[in-house]
Amino acid sequence: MKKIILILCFMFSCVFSADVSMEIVKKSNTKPSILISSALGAMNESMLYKITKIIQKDLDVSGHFNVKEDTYKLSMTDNADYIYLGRKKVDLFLNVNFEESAFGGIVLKTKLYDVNAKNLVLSKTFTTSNINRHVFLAHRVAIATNAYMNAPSIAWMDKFVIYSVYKKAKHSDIVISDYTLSYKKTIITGGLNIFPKWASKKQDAFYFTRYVNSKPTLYKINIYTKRMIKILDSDGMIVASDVSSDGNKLLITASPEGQPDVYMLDLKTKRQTKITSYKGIDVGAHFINNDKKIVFVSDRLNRPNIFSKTIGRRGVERLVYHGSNNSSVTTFNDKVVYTSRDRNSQFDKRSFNLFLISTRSDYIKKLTVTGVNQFPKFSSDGESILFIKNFNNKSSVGIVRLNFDKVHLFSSDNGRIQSIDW
Amino acid sequence: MKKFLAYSVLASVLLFTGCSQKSTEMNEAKMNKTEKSSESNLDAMNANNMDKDSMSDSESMTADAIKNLLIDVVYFDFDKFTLNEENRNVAKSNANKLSVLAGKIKIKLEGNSDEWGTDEYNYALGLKRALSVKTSLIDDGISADDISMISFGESNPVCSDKNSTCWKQNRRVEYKILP
Repeated sequence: MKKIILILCFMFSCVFSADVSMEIVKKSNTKPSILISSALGAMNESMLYKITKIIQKDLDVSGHFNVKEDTYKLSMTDNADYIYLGRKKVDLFLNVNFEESAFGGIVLKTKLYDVNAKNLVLSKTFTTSNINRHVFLAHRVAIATNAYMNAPSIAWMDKFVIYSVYKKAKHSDIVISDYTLSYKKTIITGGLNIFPKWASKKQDAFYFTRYVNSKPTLYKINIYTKRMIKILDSDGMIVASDVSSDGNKLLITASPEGQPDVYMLDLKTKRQTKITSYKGIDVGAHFINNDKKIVFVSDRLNRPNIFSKTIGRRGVERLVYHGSNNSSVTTFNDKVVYTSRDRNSQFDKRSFNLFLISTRSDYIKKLTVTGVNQFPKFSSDGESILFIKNFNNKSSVGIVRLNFDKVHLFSSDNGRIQSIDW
Repeated sequence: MKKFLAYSVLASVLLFTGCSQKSTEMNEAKMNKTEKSSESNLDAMNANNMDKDSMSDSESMTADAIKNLLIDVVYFDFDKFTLNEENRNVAKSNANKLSVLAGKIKIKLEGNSDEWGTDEYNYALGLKRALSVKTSLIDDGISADDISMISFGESNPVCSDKNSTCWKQNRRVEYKILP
């Protein structure tokens, strides 16, 4: 009897003290398995292969599917072999093909089969006027497939990522891409162009700093009309670090007196308000609490750390009590993700890793383990974090999927990434 | 040629009026509204859509000329922007050399950092280093009006090897002398 109680106690403790990795295994067992295949009879097999690979990666990154590999092929006009697919333990089968349309565009056709129900459940067509944008079509296929399963939205995959990339000393370009860096378009070149920041959720314009006659100058440029306007300039440095949710206010790090502090610029009234005033370094401010408060990086304890401040009030509050060199931050509700120099890293003594904490508890979790990880940015749903990773002389964009405890990396093949936004 | 001259004049005006300007200023231009938001509209973008002529640097003294003045670069410790005894002496020595030309030159201090840490913080760090040197110059009799500062953060390394010696070379303030 004692033995039975002991075994029960052991089983009970195993179940309820299960760590995150066990939780992930448990979740993964409940995920539908999906096989994505390039259809038989494709006009351009290599292009279709690329598209299929992107869809596979998207569904893998979503964390909502077990993506399977198999050589099974099917033409778009035939019905799926449910017996074969069932034997391979495939729940969903996605068949993909495309045709080139007039004027250099493509039409992507997809058919989604429910193997268990033995039915064609979704048939969709996606189009673009430029074949180079097939990456975004692939993302839309993944989003639609995910939506069919009523899984949490992955609409962020279709958004633009904007980043600056160093080319040589005092030179950096600004590039627009998708989140995997598969699609890339350089839009600003020549000289030093840094810290691009989307002007609003519409992603039709962005702010960036450009050095004009050796003077840091903040511009806003509309990516479709090409209209560029000067917002501010400042001796020393100027950076737009965040935009309010209504797009009407900017948080800026500027140094009109040679002293880097946080300012708020009301774009309608053009009024500047100095938010922080400290003899050291205050940078990297982000709005929180409905734009009434900011979080920012300051060296007021001799090392960079994360602080918060209510706009219009005196005094600052220390937000992070872990680490001695915390130099960038992003927040979503009570979640705070910051970069911290990690002297205890077994991989690299100069490692900077991302940590997640909650402002409501002592919860802390290390999100990365190697290299220099910086510029974390929460997704709009708070479930993912975009960041820059530099490791072994390679620069990558990373996506942390918080609910799945997974990090996905996409390497840059055109230089060291300076800063990023999405 | 006329265009070049016009931009040269503009650059000169900006150089001599902008260096001593301490306050930020806001442009009055109105913003253009657009409803487009899909990647399908990216055709309109062009990497060369900006006036490059007016964006180019206009340094008015070469590195050789600076060497003739025997101005030394001031180096900093990791994550530090204050002057220690060693680099304070370098800054003081530079100030003595420059004081001979006081009133005849403008000094631009370029702050730089190594690649470690977050970029925005590194730009601020580079600026604070330049500010430390500026304060030292002022203490030694150079007029604040003759000194401007700019930070290049980690964008302007002089060494790209991955070792401590190299990183130290990048944590620096350079003096650019403008007539």
